[in-house]
Amino acid sequence: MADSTPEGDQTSVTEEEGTRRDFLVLAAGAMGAMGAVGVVWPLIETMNPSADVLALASTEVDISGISEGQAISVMWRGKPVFIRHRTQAEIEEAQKVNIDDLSDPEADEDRSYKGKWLILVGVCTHLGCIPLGNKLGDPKGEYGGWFCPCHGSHYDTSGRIRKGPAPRNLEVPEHNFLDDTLVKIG
Amino acid sequence: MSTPVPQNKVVQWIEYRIPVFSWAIAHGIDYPAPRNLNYWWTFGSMAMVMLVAQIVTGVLLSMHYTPHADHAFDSVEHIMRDVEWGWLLRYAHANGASMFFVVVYIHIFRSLYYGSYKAPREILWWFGIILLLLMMATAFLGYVLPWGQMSFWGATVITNLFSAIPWIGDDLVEWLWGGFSVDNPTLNRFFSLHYLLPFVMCGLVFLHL
Repeated sequence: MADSTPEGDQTSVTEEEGTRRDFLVLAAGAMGAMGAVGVVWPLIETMNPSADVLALASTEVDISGISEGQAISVMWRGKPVFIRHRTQAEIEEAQKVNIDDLSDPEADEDRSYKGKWLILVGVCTHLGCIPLGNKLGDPKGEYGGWFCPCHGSHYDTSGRIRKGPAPRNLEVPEHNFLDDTLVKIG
Repeated sequence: MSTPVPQNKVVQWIEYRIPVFSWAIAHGIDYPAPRNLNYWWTFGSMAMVMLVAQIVTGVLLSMHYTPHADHAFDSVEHIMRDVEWGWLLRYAHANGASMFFVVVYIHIFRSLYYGSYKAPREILWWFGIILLLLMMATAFLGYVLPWGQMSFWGATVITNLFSAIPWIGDDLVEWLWGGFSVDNPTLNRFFSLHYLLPFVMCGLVFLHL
């Protein structure tokens, strides 16, 4: 040690190399910053969804009881989800639309499962109301799908926005058909 | 020699309207202190750090806690098992309270040993006494919040101490309980006061500085 750092060295260190003090300040600062992050990180993490909330993040729905032309609402992550068993006429109507005419272009094939099953988050993309059209006797809007009573958004039989202030189609949640009668949402 | 306020335009703009920067420099950097202060004088600042840490962890804990006799214990279990880092949060708050007392006792013994309570610092000492009493009250209230057996009987025993006061004791205890025994109204008010008192302490700390 003595031969590698003789006493005179400290005074001869040039500006560019920096002094030992610079190094120590930098190293201590870096350690301090790491410590601060280590303290703050868990504190922020505590506000994320907890394990019991995450455990309810997905739901399985038995759809065998939904006959053609019927729709049900199930709650998923605190929001209603529409599951609609579409009739042949509704499917054809959804498929024959020219995609270029839509304000949020999306093909019906990308939104439905085997044509007849359509699963949507039942929250209007305008300001978050729940559109009507799921229950028998509800107004379904001018395009036979859903109608939002808050500001008059009309959705078609594929849940796509056709008329009114809503900017986007009704969202298709992440879902997976486990078999033909059981679907897992989320 | 005083440290100049930074010449930064934003700093200057604020400084002209509310002189917080010169105030902070005068009290935080330029504050004259005897050169014979030793490391025992750092415990006051440490106590302040502990107060801030307790408030931060406490505010986060209260986001997951339910102050109801039927749900309090479950919500504490929820914090321990389900909330991300919740176990750390709760242990930091509960053991942090004990560490707070350790730091404050050392702070008090330092002031006794070096005579920091003597004239002209009597009022400073009295504020310190009030702060200690508030700390003990807050710690007791917090101890009750998990609503386990220790909490319940702790609350029962400590509140019953007041029944020893002649004439008014029994009525006073009923008033403290908000009922005829330690029950849900007691838990609710204990939670409210446990949240309030630390902020009262924050205000007193400025007078104590």
